[in-house]
Amino acid sequence: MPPTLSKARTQLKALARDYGLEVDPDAIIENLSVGQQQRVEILKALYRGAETLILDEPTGVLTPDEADHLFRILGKLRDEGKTIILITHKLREIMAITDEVSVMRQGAMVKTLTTKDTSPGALAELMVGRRVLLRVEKGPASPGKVLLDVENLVVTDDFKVPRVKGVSFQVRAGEIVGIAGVAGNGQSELLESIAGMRDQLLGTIRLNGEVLSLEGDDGAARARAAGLAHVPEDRLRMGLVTTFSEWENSILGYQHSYGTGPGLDIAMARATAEEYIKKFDIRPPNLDLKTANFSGGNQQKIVLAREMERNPDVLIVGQPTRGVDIGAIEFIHNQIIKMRDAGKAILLVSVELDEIRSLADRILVIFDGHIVGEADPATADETELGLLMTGSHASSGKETN
Amino acid sequence: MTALPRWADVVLLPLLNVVLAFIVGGLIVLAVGQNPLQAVGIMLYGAFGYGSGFGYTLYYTTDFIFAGLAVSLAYHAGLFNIGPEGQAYVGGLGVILIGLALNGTHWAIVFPLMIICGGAFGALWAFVPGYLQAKRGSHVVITTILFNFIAASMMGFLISRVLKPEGVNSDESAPLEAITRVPQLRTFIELFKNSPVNLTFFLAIAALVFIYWLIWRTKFGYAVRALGKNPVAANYAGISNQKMIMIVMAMSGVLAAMVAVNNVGGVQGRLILNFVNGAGFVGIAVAFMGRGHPVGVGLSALLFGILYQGGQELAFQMPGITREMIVTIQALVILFTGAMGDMLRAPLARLLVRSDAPTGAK
Repeated sequence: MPPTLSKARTQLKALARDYGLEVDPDAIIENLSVGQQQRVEILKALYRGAETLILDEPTGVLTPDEADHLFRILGKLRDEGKTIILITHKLREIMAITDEVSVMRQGAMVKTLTTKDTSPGALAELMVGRRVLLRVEKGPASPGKVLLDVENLVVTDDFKVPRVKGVSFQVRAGEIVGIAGVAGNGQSELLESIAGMRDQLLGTIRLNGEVLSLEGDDGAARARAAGLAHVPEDRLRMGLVTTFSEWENSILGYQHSYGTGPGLDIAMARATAEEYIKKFDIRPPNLDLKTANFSGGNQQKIVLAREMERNPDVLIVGQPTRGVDIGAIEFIHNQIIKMRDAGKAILLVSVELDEIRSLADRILVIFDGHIVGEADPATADETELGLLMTGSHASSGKETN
Repeated sequence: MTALPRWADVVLLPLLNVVLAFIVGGLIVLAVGQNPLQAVGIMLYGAFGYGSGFGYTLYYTTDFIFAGLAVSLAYHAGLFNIGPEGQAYVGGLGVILIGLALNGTHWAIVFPLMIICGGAFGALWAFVPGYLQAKRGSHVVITTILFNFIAASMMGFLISRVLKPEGVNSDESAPLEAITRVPQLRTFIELFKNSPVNLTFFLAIAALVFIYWLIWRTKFGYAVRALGKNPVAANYAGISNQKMIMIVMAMSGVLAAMVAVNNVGGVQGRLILNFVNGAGFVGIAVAFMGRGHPVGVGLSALLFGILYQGGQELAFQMPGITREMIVTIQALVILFTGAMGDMLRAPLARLLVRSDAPTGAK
């Protein structure tokens, strides 16, 4: 006999209290935040009496705060004698919470180590099979003229709720402007609006001095025609048609330039795909393979190659290394720096503060749809950025009311 | 979903489904005390064995190709068009109006105009659900079903109250003169005497080739497939979801309306009540069995053509087998190839993977 609903509810509440997994047992899942949804998953496993928990990239969707909370829970579970297997590409998490670490590379276990006897550098080397620079090497920026000029932009989400509430900034040729912020503070809507995927309520977007008019649901085509390329935050949902073959995704958004009449010049598209595969070292080098069958890092390379190799003036990039292995992260960061050094204007949105700090020449902090501060990555203090990101810093940033 | 090798997905699986349908159908034939093998023999003879039977098979196949392509094209854009029945019916109005307006003119002039005019009427009937989906979010499955009913009532009214000439008892429009009608193949080919297959058959073959080209060889087709597989990515790529939905639905309606060119322009030479007679619905089964690919659609349309024509022969030759039983067998084919089309996928994948294993392992 399965337990009655009320009994289950009591048990869940007790479990939630014991482990700090507070979730309203009667809430509808889609109304919960991603962090809460994850708690539900863990709660479910505990309720069924799991002794071993396997977590696959659990922090990818969490805010730093939620991630800390999760780690406290995992620590508690470990102390109670449960076994926890954590699959992650974030070395900091490995170092922070694990006792023992095994490194996998190309489907084989390379090595098993005791965490306290190893270092992030040594782990990265094992993961990639060669020495990796965990820091990005780049020269100073030499900003030129303004290529992307966003003025007083207001954007709403699908439910007509304003998410970007009057944002203004400029990105110059040869510089990377990073937008830092906790996920869900308007970054996605900002990117989608500049890319022509989401109508703006108010404001002006200028590209190379020309006002972009992006209304309608084919605005993305006009943005591209004006010289803007877009690496979307969510490549699987937005940047790729995963059931298409590799070569078909290599022309997504640019299909009109392959062939003169109504016909699609497939030979030309395949030649382009071939070229991208070589330049970006996309593996396996098989342009007929279904895109879903590539690894996250290689899928991201397909998107990056497509968006970078068309020589755009402005590149907007969202979460470029989300779910990407360390070797590919290094490559992707270097490509972005290369674009900057070629005189492109780059707008980078990432929830990984480390990534923003190492790539950007200027950091803008977004909170609740407002740009609340600007920082120089060389001198920025992590605590101060963290305070800005959570909106609890009153002295800096513009007053909005 | 389990991955199958392409050849198994495209050829083996549909074939197994058909065989399964015939086995179950055979059991039913056995149950009523008839010989299933003999029944299959009679069906095949009825479909291919003599000229007019073969002609009828091709005539039905023509209808099913158009209806199947209509459903397939929309399906590639992620749209489930259930309405070819109504779109074909309304297309018939366009065909008869242009035919009657030019009655007496040579068919070589009227035939292309029937395609255009009938196509335009069918396009309109599918465009409205497309518009409602694109702009108002009303699901095409619901609206196209409703539009089938509206078409049936509206056409019934028009035929019996408006188009019916004075002094005619049955509900039908005035007839087209012989010279205006789409010519039947029997006027050129002796083999097809007494059968209704007409020039529209070649239009259907051309449509198969055209749709293949359109979907896999053009920028438009690329956009259609991107939309069907991932509307968000299509939006990201600058493809207007709204425009595409309306255009594809209208094109789907044009294809469905060609059923009317075949029947109104070619076979009947007049607009009669309910001339589509379910062909639009068979198109749904044809499209699913053919997996949306023009080659598959052509082959499954032929299979249903055989079932229709051979089934009538069977009902005629074997007194123990009634019309209803033929419909049952047709329904079984639809059930096994359409609704339960993926039933054998998992076991088949297991079987193929196992037999691959010794060679596949390093």
